[in-house]
Amino acid sequence: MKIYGNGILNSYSQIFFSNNKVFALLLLIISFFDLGAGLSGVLSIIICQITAVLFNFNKELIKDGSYTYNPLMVGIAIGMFYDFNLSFFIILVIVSILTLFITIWMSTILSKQGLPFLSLPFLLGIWIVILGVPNFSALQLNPKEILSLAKWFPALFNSVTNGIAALPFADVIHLYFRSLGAIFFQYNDLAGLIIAIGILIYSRMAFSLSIIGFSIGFAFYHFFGGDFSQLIYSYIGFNFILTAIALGGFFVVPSKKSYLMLFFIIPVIALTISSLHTLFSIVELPLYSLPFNIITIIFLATMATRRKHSGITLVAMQQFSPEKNHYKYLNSQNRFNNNTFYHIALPVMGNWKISQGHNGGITHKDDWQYAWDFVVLDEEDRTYQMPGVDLKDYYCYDLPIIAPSEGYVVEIIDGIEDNKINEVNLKENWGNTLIIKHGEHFYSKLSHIKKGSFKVKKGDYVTKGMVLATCGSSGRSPEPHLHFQLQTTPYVGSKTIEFPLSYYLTKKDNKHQFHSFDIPKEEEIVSNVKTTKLLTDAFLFVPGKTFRFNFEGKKIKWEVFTNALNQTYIYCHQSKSTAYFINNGTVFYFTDFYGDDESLLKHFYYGAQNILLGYYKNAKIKDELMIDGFFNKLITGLHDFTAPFFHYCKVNYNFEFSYCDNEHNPSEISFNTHCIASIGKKEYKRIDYTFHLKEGKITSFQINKNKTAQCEN
Amino acid sequence: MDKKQYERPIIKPLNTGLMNKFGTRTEYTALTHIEGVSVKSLLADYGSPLFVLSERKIRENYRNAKRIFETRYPKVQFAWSYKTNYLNAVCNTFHQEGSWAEVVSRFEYEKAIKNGVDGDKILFNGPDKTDSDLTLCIENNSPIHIDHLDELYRLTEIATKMDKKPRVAIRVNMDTGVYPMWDRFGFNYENGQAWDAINKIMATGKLDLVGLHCHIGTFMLTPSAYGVAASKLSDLAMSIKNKYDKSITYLDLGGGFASKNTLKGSLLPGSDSVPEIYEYAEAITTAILNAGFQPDDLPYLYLETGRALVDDAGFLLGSVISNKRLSDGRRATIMDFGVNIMFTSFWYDHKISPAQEFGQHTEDTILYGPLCMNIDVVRENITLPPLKPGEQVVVHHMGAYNISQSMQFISLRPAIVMIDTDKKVHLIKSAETLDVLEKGELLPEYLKEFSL
Repeated sequence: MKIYGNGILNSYSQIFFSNNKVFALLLLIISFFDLGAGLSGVLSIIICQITAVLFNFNKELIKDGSYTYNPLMVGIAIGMFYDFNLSFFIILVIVSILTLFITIWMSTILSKQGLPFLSLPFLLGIWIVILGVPNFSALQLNPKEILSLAKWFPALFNSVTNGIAALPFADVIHLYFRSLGAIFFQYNDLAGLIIAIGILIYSRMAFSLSIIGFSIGFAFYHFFGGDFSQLIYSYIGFNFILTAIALGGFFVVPSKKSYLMLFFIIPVIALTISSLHTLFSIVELPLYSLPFNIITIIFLATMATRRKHSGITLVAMQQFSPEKNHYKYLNSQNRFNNNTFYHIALPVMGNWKISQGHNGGITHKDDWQYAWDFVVLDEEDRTYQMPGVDLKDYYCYDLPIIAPSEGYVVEIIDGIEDNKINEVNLKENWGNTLIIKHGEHFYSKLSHIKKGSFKVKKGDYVTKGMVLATCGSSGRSPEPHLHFQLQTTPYVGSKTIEFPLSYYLTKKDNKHQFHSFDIPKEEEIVSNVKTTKLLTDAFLFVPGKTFRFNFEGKKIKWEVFTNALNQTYIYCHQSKSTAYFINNGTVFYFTDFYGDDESLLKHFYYGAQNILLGYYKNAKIKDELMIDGFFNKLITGLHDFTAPFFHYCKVNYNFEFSYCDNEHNPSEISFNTHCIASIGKKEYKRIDYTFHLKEGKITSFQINKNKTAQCEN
Repeated sequence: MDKKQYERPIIKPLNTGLMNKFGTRTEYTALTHIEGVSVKSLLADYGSPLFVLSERKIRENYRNAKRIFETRYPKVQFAWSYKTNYLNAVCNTFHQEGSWAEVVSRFEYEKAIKNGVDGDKILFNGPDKTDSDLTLCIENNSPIHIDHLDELYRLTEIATKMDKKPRVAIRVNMDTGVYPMWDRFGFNYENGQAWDAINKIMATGKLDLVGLHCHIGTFMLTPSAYGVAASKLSDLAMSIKNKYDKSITYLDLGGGFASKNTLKGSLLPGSDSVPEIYEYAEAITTAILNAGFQPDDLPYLYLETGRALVDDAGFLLGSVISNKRLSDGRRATIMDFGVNIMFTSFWYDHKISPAQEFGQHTEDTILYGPLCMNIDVVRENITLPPLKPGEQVVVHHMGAYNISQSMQFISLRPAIVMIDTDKKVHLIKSAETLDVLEKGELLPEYLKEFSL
C-alpha cells in the first residue's frame, strides 16, 4: 500500500485553502497538541488514502489533499473527544470512509456548478457520529478529558496567554487566537498564535483578511448587542475568519472591492451563526463551520450567475494563494484580457481609416452597433482625388478585400450595381455581400462590394489574406467604402457582436502603435501586422525541439513539450523548471513559470516575455510582469498587505529591436528587452537582456551585458 | 485695377472650318506662382533661368504611389532611382518618406551612402560594375542586380575570395508585348537565359539569390505590359521555390511608369493619354497575387519609380531674350534656357506657361534656346501669346532627368531652389561659375604663357 506523504501534509494546509508545506507542518504539530486527536487525524487520512487507491478514485486529488482534509477534520474531532478503544477504531474507519465518499459525491455535484464543497463533508460526518453513535449500546465511545500539551507544559501556554493579556484589546486578541485554534479544536492562545504565524507565512493577504474578517464580526456583535456567549462557546468566531479568507481572497480575486465586501458578508455570517445557534442548540448539535459553508456557497453560486463579471471577480484558475490569485489575475487582465480564440485581422491591405466605428453616428446603431466602415485617405484627409464625382476618383474603390481569417464562404450576394456618388440604395441596403464562416456561430460579413468582383464562390475555403473581391459602393453606400462586422448567424443583416481584432497597427504622426486584441476606433488609421521570417522561424518552438546552452561553463538543456491541454512549455532538464509560452504567429509570449528563480530559463522567461514577430524599426512593446522573484521576500511580503488596494511595486517590461541586417529578409536580428522593478518611482532592480538571432535560430542571449548564454544548436 | 498689358500686334490667318471665331487659344493659363511663391520674385532672387522643385509635390506623389500600391499588395518598397534626379535635397526627401535608393554607378552609390542610406537599402543596378564596386557592395550587404554572365562569374569569384555570400538579384528581360523590347539588359526570360543564370547561382551556392529584377522599358504607356512582366517574374520565383525550396525575397519591377509629360508625336497631351499609377499597380499586384504564392510567403514588391514621382515637381523658369521672325514668316522666340539644361526636350513637347497675365491672342511660335548651336530648339511649335523680351515663362514637368543630364555647354547650369511645405524657398544648388567649370582642369606649365 502506498501512502502519499504529500497527500497527508496537503490535507492539513487544505483546511486553510493552502498547499504551503511549512504551514501544513505547523498545523500538523498543533493537531498533536492532543496526542489522540493528532494520531486519529493521521489515521483517518491513511484510511482514506488506502480506500481511494482500492476504489480507483482520482489519485491526484488524494495527493493534493482535497479528498482527505474533511476526513482529517473528522478524525481530529473524534480523537479529541473520545478515548481510544475498539469501538473508537471501528467508528474511525467507518466515518472516515463515509466522509471520503461524501466528499467525492459532493465534489461531483458541486464542481459541475463550479462550487467548492468546503467542509460540508466534515459537518455531515461528525454530525452522523454525534447523533448516531449513542444509540448503539455496544459501541462505547468514552468521552475523555482533552489531552493537551497544556497539561504538561502549562508554563508555555500560560506565558502566551499572559503575554497577550498585557496587550491592549487583550479580550479581542484572545478571542481571535482561540477562534483560530478552534478550527483544530485547540481552544488555547498558543495554538492560535502558531496558526496565525502559519497563515502569515502562507499568505499576507489571508492574514490581513483573517484579522479584518474577525474584527468586523466582533464589532458587529459588540455594537448590535450580540450574545457573546455564542462566540465564546466553542469559539465559533472562526467562521468569520474562514469566510473572510475564502471570499476575500481565495475564491474571489483579492481587491479593494473583495475586502470591502466583507463588511456585508461578515455581518451575514454573524446573523447566520446566531440563528443557527438557536436552532442547533435544540438538538445539541455543534455548529462548527456550517455558517461559513452555507454563506460561502450561496455567495459563490450567486456571483457566478451574473451577466457581466466585473468588480468582484471569481478566481478562474485556482493558484492556492490569495497573493498568486491577485497578481496573476491583474497580470493576465492587463496582458490578455481580450484574448480571443478566433484571430480576426483587418480585411484590407495597407492603411485604411475607420470612417465609422462601433456605435457610429450614421448607421452602426442598435443591432448593428459593432461594425466598422473602412475608407482610404490621402495626405489631405480626403477619400477621393479631384473632382470626386466618379467612383474611380475614390481611393478605396476597386481595392482588394482580403479574408480576415480562414473559413468557408457561406453566402455571396452579387449583382447589385454600384451607386453613383451620394446616392444610396436603401432597398438592397447591404449591397453585394460576402459572409465567411470561421467557426460555429462565428461569421464575418463584408458589404458594399463591387458588382462582379468576387474571386471566390460560395462553399470555397479561404485562407487568411486571400483576395476575396474588391471594394465597391453598392447598397446603402453614398461613396465607396467597406463595411465589416462579426456576427453569430450566417445571414445578411444579422446582428453584430462585439469582438476584438487580434493584431493591428494604428498610425499617427507617421508612428506605428501596435495593438493586440483591441477594437479599432473611429478615425483611426489601421493596418495589418507584417511578420518577419527570421523572427517567426527562431521562435517556432515545436514540441521536441531542444536547446543546448553554454552558460557560465555549464551545459544546459531545454526541451519543448506540449501538455494534455495543448499548452506548450519549455522544460529545463538541469533546473527542472517549466516556462509556458504561446506563439500565435504574430507574437511570442510567456504566460507562466514554475521552478528555479535563479535558472537560465527564468531569465529567458523574463527576457522573452513578449516578442513581436515582425520587424518594425521603431516598434516598442511595453508590458508588465508579476512582481514575484524581483524583490526580496520582505518587500514582497509587505507589498502583499497593500496590494489589494494599491501597488507600489511594479515590474515593467520593454522590448525593442536594436539591429537588423536587412529589413525584408533579415538573416540577423538583435533586440533588447529589459525589466525594471521599481518601488514607487524609485528603480529597485533592472535586468537587461539582448537576444541575437541568426539564420532562423536564437544564437545567444545576454543578461545584463555581461553574462552570455550561447545556444549551441 | 491692374494696368492693362500691352501686347504687340500680330497678324494671323483665319482658317475656315476650325474652332470658332476666336481662333485657337493657348491651352494654358498664366502661371504666376509656384507653391505660392511668385515666379517674378524667384527669378529676381536667384537669377534666370532657374530650376524650382516643389517639396510638397514630391511628397504628395510618393505618398500617393505608396498608398496606391500598399492598399493593393501587403509588402511594398520603393527605391528612389538616383539617376532620375540625384540632387541630395530630392534624394533625402524621398528617403525621409521611407524610400530606399537604386543606383547604377559608383558615384551614385557613394552619394547614397553619403546621404546616410544603409548599405542594405541600396540596390545596385546596371551593366557596369567594377570589381571594386562589387567588393564594396558585398561589404555593405547591398543587393547586387546582376546584368550579365561575365558579371555573375566575376562576382562569384570575388565572393569566394572574400568568403562572403553577397545578396544578389538577376535582371530579367522579357517580351511583354511592347516594342521596343529592352533586351540589352539582363538575361532573357523566353529563351531560358534567366532560368539558366538562376540555376548557375543556385548551383554554386556562393551567392544568395534574394530577388528578381526587371525593367521593361521607359515611359511605358501600357500598364498591362507590367502585368505580363510581374507574372513572368512570379513564374521564375515559383520555379525557384519548387526546385530549390527557396523563397525569393523580392520582385523588383523596376521603373518606367510614365509621367504626365507629352511625348513628341503623340496625339493627345500627356495629361490625357498617360495611364494613372493605379493602373500600373492594378496590373502588377493582381499578377503577383494570382501567381500562387502562399499568403505568408509573398515576395516583397520593389519599385524603382523615378520619373512618375518627380517629373511634375520640377519647373524651369526662364525669360525671353528676344523675338524674331524667320525667313518663312514664322515667329521665333529666343529664351535664356536651352537644350543643355533640358535634355528631355529631345523627346517631350514640354508644357510651357507664360508667367504673367496675357491677352486673348496667341501665335504659333518656335522656341529657341540661347546656345549658339543649331540644335538648340526648346519647342518646335508652340502656341503662345506674344511675349516681350524680359517676360517670363515656366516650363512644366522638368523634375526628371533634366537636372541630372544637364551640362555646361555654352551656358553654365543655373541655380536650383526647392520650395518647402511651408512655402519657404531654399537654394539647393548654386548657379555655376567658371570656377565650377574649370574645377579639376589642369593646365600644363608650358601652356600658361602666350602673347597675341
